[in-house]
Amino acid sequence: MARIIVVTSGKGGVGKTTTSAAFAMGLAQRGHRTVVIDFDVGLRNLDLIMGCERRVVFDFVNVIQGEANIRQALIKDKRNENLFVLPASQTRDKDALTLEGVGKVLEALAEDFDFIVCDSPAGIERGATLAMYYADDAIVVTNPEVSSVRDSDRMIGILSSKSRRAEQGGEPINEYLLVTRYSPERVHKGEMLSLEDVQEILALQLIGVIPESESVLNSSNAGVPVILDDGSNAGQAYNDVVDRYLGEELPHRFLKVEKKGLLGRLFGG
Amino acid sequence: MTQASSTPQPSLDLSAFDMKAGQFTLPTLLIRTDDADALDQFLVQQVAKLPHFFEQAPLVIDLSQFPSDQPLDCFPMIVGMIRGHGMVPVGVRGASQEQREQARLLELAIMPRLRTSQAQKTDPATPPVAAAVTEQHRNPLVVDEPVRSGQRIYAKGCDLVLLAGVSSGAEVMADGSIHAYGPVRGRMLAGVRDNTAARIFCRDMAAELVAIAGRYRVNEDLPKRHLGRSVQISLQENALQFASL
Repeated sequence: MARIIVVTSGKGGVGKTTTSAAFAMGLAQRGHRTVVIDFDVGLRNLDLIMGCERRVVFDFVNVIQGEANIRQALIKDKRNENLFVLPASQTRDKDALTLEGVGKVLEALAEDFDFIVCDSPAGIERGATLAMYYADDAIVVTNPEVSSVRDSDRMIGILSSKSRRAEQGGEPINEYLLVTRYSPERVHKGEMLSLEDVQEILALQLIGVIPESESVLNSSNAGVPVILDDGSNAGQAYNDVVDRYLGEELPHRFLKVEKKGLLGRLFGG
Repeated sequence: MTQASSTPQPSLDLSAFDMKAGQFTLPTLLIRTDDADALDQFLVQQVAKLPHFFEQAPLVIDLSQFPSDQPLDCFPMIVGMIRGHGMVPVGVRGASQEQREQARLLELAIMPRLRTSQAQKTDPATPPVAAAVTEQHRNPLVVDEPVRSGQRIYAKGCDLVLLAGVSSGAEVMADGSIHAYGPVRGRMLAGVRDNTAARIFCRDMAAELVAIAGRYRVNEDLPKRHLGRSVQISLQENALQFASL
């Protein structure tokens, strides 16, 4: 039976899709059969970030409405045979997703996969609530910035009340905090919320901190999950996140301002 | 009828209601014979092709081609049969005087007469209902503005001419051929009702997916030499053929 993980936030543009792609690729790299699903009907971009936008034939809505079966819609990743993508529809709207329909697809996928990563859309409306309804684990992606923190707080409240586990009185969803776009320099200058500030407000188990990095934009332009750029800080940080999720205890990196030596200041970098 | 009372009524709040003109595209079932068994079989086939589309879908029964001298005694049974397949008959069109009376008893609306509107721009669209493609000549649907991501255009019963581009994530469909003069980065589906003679003419080919009569190829599988160029796509012996324009 698969473990269902939702990557959510409330606020838009904080790094959910970037995280979903990296996290799913990380799990696949470690030998687990993984599928990542785009729940953002009408504004899909998981297929772009994964680099499979030119191979989309059928999508999640087609499967729910019985116009195609799952096999036809799943796109196999070319870099890793354990990884599959289920893209969203671009031409339909959110009403095409139904609770029952989503449940059936997840049930069918759970038989063949170890992990199902659900890339949630922004907001707290239907797409977002459906993405998290069936989840076992939730990664709440937050930028160290006031409106993102407030929106994440709202989302955490919804996770604890509107999920299937909440409704059925089962064990609650495991919630993890992932802080993205963290810049220790700006925190040091007092321009950005510190990790401690964020944790104080949200009070969630921290699964990782992803530093602000140019490699994220470069990777998304290239259609490559950033975790594959293991030279970059962001890529390495995502690798740590996957390892922590799977049970390893690792110290959090990239939290301190790097002290540049003379050579570093001369040559930048 | 009771007399209106002389005591004034407290004023009722009517602002909660609005009567507006709605516009809907409805599947129409054309009936030319009252052979109920044949109709049942036909409906089984239709539902099998697009099961979710027909579930609780509103349907109009078109009697304009039903022989006017034949009585339609089993009309109530036919309506019941349609309901049994999950559809919801909402009205009749082209009915004779007696048939209108029958419709009234069955609580079906009388729909306005058929107009020859040939093409529709739908956003968002429902899939086209499969039906016989008629032979008559129809002018193409000409679209002179870009088709944006998420939009769908369907040229029903005719060709489609696109003077501006088609964005990635958009879908353009035609029963006939598609002629695209702008860059195409979305999906193009020609001959959607199994019209194998349909073709695609494209001046700047970068489509996500091309299809003729259901045979398709995704961008990755398009011949590289035609990308970004003028190309004609046709269907020969069930395979898509690409030729420079």
